[in-house]
Amino acid sequence: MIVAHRRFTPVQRLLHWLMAACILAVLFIGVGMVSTVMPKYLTLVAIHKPLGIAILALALIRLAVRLRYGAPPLPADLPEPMKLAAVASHYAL
Amino acid sequence: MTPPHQSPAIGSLALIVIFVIAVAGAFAFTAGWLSPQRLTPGKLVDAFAPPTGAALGHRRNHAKGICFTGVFEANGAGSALSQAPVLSRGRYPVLGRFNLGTANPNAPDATVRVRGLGLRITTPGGQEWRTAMINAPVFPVSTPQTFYELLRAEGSKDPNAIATFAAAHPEFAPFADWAKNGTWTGSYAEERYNSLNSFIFVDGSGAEHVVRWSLLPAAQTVAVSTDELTKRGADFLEQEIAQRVAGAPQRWAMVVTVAAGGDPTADPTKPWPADRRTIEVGTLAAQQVQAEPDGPCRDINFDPTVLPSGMRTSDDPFPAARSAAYAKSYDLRTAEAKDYPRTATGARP
Ligand code: HEM
Repeated sequence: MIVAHRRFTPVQRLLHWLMAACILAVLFIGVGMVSTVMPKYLTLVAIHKPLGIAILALALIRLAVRLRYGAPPLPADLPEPMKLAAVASHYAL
Repeated sequence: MTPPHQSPAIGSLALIVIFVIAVAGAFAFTAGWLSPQRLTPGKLVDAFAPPTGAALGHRRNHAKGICFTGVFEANGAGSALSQAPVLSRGRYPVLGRFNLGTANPNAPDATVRVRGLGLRITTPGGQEWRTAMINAPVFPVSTPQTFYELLRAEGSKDPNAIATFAAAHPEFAPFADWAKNGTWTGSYAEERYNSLNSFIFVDGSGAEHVVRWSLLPAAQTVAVSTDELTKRGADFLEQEIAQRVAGAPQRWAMVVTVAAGGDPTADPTKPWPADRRTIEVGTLAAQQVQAEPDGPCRDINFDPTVLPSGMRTSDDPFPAARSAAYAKSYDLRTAEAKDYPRTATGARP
């Protein structure tokens, strides 16, 4: 059942920011990892792999939560191009 | 309630811009784009390539080799040093590869000084001990950065590049002496293979021991001149080992040497004193030579940091650098599989 709330649920907001932090971290770790031969290479790889899997798990949870709780409508006064961008980027993701 | 969607103040816009620039800057820094002199796995791997370019589809170093399977028979004595399952008494399957330290998969055998052995020992729980060892008693250089400089000198057009390098790096002398005066043999089975890098073994009580390990051949070592080896043909090593293993399994004793306090654990150019405690932990038996292009060694990376619980890396900077470089080499060669076709029949070439 999809109910239109005014805001995303707290779980959804938590997931959103948690994933934002994880994705940013995994990008930094990944790009640092492939550009070094220092001992930290091993540490970075050891974080990169489980973090990537954690992000996949979070994404699946997030999909399930989204199916359960739905999403609020976009603000009514959002300009058309931004609405389009919001919808398109969601489907792209 | 606040009125919805006022036009954003200049202040918050500026904050957003500053934030984005800062993140982009940090990203560029992390990626090494701001430090072009940083040694990357890509640079290290490229430094092996001859002027004509790397042999596509092949390992970027130790490109020539021959695969085998066999067994590691642990005698249990190693459990005093490490709780790794592979050192508890038992027989564990082995995948190995005899190889030559060259980037050229077709190099004539008698022209390559360094011979190596890649090994993977698997225990029932699925843990693996991977190691790649060479016949030199010491490594030519003390750090990955200096190794890169050595590779650059070897690839240099300047005929004096190696002499200049050697003069600047006295630690190179013991390796150079071995390369010039050390014994050449006619068989992979007669070589001793050394880890050179140090690792940490953790025993059942949690105590740590810094160790290096070597495989000592059961076969007697017979010195042969390079002139004589040249006459045996370009691929005599793989032909000889295939025949020899077909006749009987070839064996090595796995011997672990334990460092004492103050020994140079981070520098593979420095051997440890000869009286250090050694423990023979088991026997490697090469039982069957396998096809090289189609066999099980093709798609394995003998990454020396793949270790079972009870073993880990030490303050030696090489294993991490090797892990990074081997992964790069592996990525390149597996993506180039079409340039190193499997033989249709699965037979050896
Ligand atoms: C920073 C130093 C080193 C670099 C950059 C380096 C680089 C490489 C590369 C790129 C490969 C091919 C890996 C693959 O594609 O699977 C390789 C293989 C190998 N290396 Fe190193 N290496 C280093 C140090 C060492 C040391 C210290 C030893 C031994 C004591 C060693 C022994 C071997 C052996 C035996 C192989 C062949 C393994 C196989 O059959 O797959 N290397 N090395």
